[in-house]
Amino acid sequence: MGKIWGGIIFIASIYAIFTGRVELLLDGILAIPDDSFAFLIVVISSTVFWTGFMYIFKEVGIVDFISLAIKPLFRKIMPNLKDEEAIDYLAMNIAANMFGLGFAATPSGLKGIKRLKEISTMPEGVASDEMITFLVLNTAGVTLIPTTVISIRKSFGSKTPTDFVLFAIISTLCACIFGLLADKILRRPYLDDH
Amino acid sequence: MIISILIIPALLIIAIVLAFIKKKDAYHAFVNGAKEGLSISVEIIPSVIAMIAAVTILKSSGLIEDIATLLRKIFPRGDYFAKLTPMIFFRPISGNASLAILSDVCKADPDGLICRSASIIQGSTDTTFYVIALYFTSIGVNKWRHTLKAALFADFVGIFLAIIFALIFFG
Repeated sequence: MGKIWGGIIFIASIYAIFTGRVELLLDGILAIPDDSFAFLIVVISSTVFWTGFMYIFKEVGIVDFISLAIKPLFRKIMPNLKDEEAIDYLAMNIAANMFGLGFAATPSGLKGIKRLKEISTMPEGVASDEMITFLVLNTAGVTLIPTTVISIRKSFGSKTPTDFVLFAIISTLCACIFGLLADKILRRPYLDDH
Repeated sequence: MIISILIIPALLIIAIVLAFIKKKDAYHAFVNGAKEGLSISVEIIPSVIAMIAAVTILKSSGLIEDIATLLRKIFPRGDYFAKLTPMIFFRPISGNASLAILSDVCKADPDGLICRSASIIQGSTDTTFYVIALYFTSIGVNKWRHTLKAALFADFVGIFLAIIFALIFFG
């Protein structure tokens, strides 16, 4: 990340200087604090409100229920994973992510992958099949409502800030399915070459 | 479209009704969750500002604009893709960066094709590199095998579909 960040700033600044846009560049740079402020106000209040709202779902047991409901799915996509403790954590992680509850999702995800390591038959430092499948599922990122995006659009005066939600859900579900397929196709038995 | 409009009010009703039935204090739950949301937000402020800086500098350098002009001459939808390129590139790398880009492209026209496309892209997948690195580092795994390939393929499918949907329904 650090290299990309530095690279972009370097290339863009050099480009601006050579194409005679130094003033525009300076204006842009000086506007960064102001722009950040406006952006952060929207992002922070949106995160505070939606995390609070979604937490009600956790409190009344909906997140646990979803986690229970997706457990059979986990048994389907990871047929070799028999460890109930690991399945519990992983399902909880995906369910909490669906509700945008990152703070509730990450701890259970970390516990889940730690458990996967304990039961892994792979050599030290090598990812097991289950770890890979879980991370593919996690990074495909099925989210019920992209709340921050809605808030940003709303703040710029969008008349239909939620019009994209359905398409986003379909895209993320397909991404999930194709990611799992890719995982299956790319999977080779791990041969220790040491 | 009706479904999109109904999702949020429906969730709201479900949450309140369930809290009532289960005799849970919805207000208390909200405040607790909001507190967590606030502490997450405060934690990400520095990296968000760093991302806004990079995006702003990239934008004011005119680089994206020039590439857009160039691409427009070569093929018809050229400028559309040029404007979305930063979004497509950053989505798997950093959630904060892609949000900053989304905000930038939505500023001018929050109901335009570019903004809608970027919105679907943002929702279509999650930050791949960061999540994988976080989880594997936490357990000391350094041989990732095909994790990145499969996860990036998922990102590709998500973003590809996002663009197709945007062009069909909002184009």
